[in-house]
Amino acid sequence: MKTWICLILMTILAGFVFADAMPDFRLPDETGKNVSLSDLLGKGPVILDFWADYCQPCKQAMPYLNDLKLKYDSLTVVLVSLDAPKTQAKAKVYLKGKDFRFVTLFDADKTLAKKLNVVNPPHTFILDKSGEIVFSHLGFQPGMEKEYEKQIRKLWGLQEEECPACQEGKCGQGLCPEGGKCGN
Amino acid sequence: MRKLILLAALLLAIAALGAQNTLSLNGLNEAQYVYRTAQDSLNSYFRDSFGFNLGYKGFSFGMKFIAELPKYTISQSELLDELASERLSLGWKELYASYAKDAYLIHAGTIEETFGSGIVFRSYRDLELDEDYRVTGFKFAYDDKLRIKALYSGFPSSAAVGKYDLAYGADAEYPVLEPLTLGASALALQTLIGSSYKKDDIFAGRAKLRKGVLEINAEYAARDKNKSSDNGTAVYANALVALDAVQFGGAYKNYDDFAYYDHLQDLPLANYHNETLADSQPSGLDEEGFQGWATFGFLEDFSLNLDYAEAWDSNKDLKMNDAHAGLDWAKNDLTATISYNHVEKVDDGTSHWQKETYPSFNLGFPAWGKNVALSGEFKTVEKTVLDTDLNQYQDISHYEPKLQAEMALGKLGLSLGAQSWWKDLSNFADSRYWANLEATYPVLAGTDLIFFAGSEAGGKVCRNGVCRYVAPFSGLRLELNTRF
Repeated sequence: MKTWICLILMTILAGFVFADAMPDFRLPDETGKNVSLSDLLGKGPVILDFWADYCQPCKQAMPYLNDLKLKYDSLTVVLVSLDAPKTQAKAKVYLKGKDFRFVTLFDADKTLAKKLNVVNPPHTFILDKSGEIVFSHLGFQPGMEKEYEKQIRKLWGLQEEECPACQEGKCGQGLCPEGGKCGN
Repeated sequence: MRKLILLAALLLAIAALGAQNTLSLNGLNEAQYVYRTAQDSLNSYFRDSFGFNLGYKGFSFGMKFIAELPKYTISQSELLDELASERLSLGWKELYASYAKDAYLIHAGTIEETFGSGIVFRSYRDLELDEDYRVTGFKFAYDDKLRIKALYSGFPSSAAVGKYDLAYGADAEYPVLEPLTLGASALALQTLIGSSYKKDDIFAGRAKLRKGVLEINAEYAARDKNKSSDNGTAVYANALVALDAVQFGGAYKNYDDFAYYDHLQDLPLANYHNETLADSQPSGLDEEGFQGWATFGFLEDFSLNLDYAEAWDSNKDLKMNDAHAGLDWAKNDLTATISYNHVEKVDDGTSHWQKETYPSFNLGFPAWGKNVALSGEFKTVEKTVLDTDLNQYQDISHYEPKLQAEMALGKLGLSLGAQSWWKDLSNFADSRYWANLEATYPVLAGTDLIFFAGSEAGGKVCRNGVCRYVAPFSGLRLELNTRF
């Protein structure tokens, strides 16, 4: 019994010290040029978002991700399409029509998705400057972008932005109508 | 005790390696408890899928074990009351090891790979049909300015249990000029037909041109069936012009006897809904068609998409058309999409005709301080069928309305859905109905609890912010998904 307990504890300990690094990858962008992980790191945090053309929540997330990119210039937003080669043209047309400021990559053969066990889109990862995964989330509903922004600001050592309604003194009982408390 | 010390030392050594940030582990465990409301001795069961990927520097090792006790497919006809015992399924569905350094890659095990556009070769899992068309073998790749892939693989024969078919080949691509990239593929398929192997040799060439706002892709493939004069060809091309607020493009396909015995290809179908020419024949056998599309962005917040396609066979007995029109609008927290979809297929040889039309909408808006999403569609299906009693063809129709509402209450996601199948309004009370409720909650970081109750017709479902393909189902389902 003692042996098993020790074994389990050591396994758990080992699990905690495993690094949570983004696996290295080389994926083609919309022009066919290869982009690797090292090309994306070093400037600032990275949001890596897996999506597919048939996925409505994925498309719903894109304007919010674009707003984050416009707000934080050193943030890099990477969209990785899981679409099959025969539907990639449709995915490209969708993105080109929206003028988003994303790096667009294609992972039809699930090379990176498999390493991260991404099965259902959307699936979002936030990386720090060195490529460590600091946050991951499956799915998207409006409001989630606030959590993404909170994680990004944490990477820069910034505090959570104060709720705009609080700044105008419009919060009831110290609670922000958009979630969270006033005075952060 | 010595063994324990050795094991502890080994784990600490691994931990020390991990502390150098070069060892990574990613995994996903999906556990389900299911209770089906059906007269079935297996109506209460578990399903588990455990997969992980271990990476150390350039080395990657992955495994996925799936236990489905029993296995239900996405096909509607599989909704049986009593399952046969061979429907129990458990085993390693994926096993691979690979090493990548700079532009080189060596991979052994389960392979997912595509040559070109997928006309010549594609090894993949079809999530929509819940079919696994992946091969197992060895792959080498060099991915720099020159891109080369070569593989040698086998896969279970569909003709004989316990036997294997072979697929081996290579693909190369090189940017000969700045806007022009040329590629070539060669593939050999050895397929067991009856008691002997039939060999197909497939050769293909492709070109991609990207210059400013213009992008053109074209691919030609020829199939040489060993000891047969019945060879095949495939041509696929598409073009896109992307101006600022306007994009337009087109595609063309021509497939002649290019349907493989096994599904190791993924032919572009050149229409918006990825519909086959006819349900009665496989894609690639005999079809030609074109597609045209245009996208307009206007008034900053609006986007209009138009798409039309037609296809036919060489005898013009089989014909189909496919149309889509969609209008998107997004402003702050408000989003709206309305669309109209149309698919029509005709088979003059069997006097068969079928038409599906479905307007649909998606709305996102804040209400009561929360974000609400509403979506729906109203599908009308009309077809001509042979009435065997009267021995004459009759036109019949039915309706499939669908509605879904979602709301997030803090971390709790709720979704209510309803779907129906009506013959006509007079049969309203006797028609089929599916109603369901799904709730999701992140119990821990990386762990989600999902509860489903009710029934659903199956297919592609986007609920509580996630999209997946599901089988037809009626009952209760509790899922615990852990990502680590």
